[in-house]
Amino acid sequence: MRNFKSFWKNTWRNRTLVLMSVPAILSMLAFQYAPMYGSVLAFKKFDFMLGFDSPWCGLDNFKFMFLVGDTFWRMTRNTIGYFILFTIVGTITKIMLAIGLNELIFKRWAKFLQSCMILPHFISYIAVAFIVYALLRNETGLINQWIMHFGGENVNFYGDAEKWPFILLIVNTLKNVGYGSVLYLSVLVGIDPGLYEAAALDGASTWQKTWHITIPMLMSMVIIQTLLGLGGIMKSSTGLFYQVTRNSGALYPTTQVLSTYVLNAIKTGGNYGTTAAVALYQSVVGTIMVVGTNFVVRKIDPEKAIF
Amino acid sequence: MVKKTKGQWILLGVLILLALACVLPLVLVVIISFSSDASIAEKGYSFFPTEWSLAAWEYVFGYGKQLVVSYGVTIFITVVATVLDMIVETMFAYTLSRSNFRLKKYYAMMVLITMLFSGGQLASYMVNVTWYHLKDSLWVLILSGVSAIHVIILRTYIQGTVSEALIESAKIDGAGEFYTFVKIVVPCMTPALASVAFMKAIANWDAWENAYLYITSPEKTPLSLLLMEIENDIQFLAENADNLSPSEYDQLVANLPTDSGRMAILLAALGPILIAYPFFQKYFVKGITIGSVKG
Repeated sequence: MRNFKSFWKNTWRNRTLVLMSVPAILSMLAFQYAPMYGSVLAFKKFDFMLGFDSPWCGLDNFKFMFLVGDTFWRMTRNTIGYFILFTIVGTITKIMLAIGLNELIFKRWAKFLQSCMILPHFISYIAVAFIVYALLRNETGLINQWIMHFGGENVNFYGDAEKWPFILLIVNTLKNVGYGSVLYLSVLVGIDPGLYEAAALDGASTWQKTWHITIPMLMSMVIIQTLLGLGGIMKSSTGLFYQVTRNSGALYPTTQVLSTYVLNAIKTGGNYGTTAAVALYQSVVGTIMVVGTNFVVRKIDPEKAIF
Repeated sequence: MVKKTKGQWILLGVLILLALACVLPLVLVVIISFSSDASIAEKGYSFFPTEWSLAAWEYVFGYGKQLVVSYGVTIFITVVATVLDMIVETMFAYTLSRSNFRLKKYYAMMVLITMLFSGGQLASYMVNVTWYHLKDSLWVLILSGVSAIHVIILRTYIQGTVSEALIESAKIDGAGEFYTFVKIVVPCMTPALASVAFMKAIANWDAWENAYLYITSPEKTPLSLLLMEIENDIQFLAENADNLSPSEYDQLVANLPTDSGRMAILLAALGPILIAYPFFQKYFVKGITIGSVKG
């Protein structure tokens, strides 16, 4: 009781702070917490006229979701598959780039080249989609021009699903590698040069120094970044999977992910009940992933846990 | 002085190639926008067109009202949403940074929950449309809740740079909480504010999903949506060329930009970002590093 009283006293004394937080709290309630409640749509038989007042239908939407079967599993596979692919390739390329930029003795070049490589991060996916289309489209596209110049056949990229994991990996890597490497570079700059000098005195080669000093120093950043990333495991970039693929049905087998399915379903006014079920599944799995990995990390090394 | 060994030159070469891969596609867009349509028809897209032309840019400036309107909408959204979010989030971050404020524990919990779970796009859509009636309203592009990551960046920065003693001494001198915040804390936060604001401004400028879902009237169409619509029209035309009557086809073609025209419109949309980028670069590099410190 006394605790409660002193809590209110503290809050009253800081009433200006409470006032300052009101806009943020209201904004969160209206645009983040209200949609959480909106997830109940997953358990309703959706009717456009009734909206949120549609009748309950238990788990029917989820049953339907699993009944659709193939598409659903394919989307899940694509979502998680691309996440793993992008995380592994992304982390390795970012670290390699950071080490490369750090090792380069032409410092002015390093700075300039880094600026060039960060730029794509700020180009919207709509623009990226324009550019990829300019490169890959039939006949007039730059790549097809080159292929035909050297006597090859026109390749119909937008009709051939098998090529897209590779194309999306390249686009995603080029767009994010420069920006992502900034973080790792900031860690590298902070490493005590004494460590390298000591290693050099013991006769370590450049590779040995990289392997035994640089990489271990980067590991905690890798873990934090991967953990933060895991929260988005189910939320693939719609820019990449919807815009860059031009939402082309022929490419769905390798490019359709949960978030593009939801976006497309909202836009085309598909079955909102099932869509809500898919969206809830997407959110819940995401939450489990974050809480789960954080739990494991805290067991191993409490310092590195996010909460 | 370190020796410029062979390895260094190879490293430089590799990094230059990577940088070219990042920048050349943009250069291609610029070149296409200055290529003549005859050249594109003959050679396809190319870094070395047979004939240069300003037709595409004349087209862009003649495209007239819709482009100007869309530009206005995008600028309006970017400015209002960024400023509004910055004010709300900076004040909130300040309350979270005060060590003797006991309510902050619950605030932090609230922020954490938004990071862990979200209702998803469909639930947001239904809430915005049925409860708030924001279909085809510019507000839906402006109001979006609180960005947990940005609040954490700002709070961490306040804790790291503005000392408790400074704030206390201001209060002893008789400054109220809000006055202290505006006159002492905010001026100390310039680098963090600039980098977060820059990230937000870019995100707002590039945003397309909400416009795509909610906006239907042309006078509220931002640039991103305009670009998408042009693309969709072209695709529609390509897919339905055989099903359309000649007069319908001609009418559609007359309204559509040529290849070079599309690239010129794209550049017009990208322009401000490309121009602002060199000036803000140092701020956001700092911003990323601040953001990496966990709270």
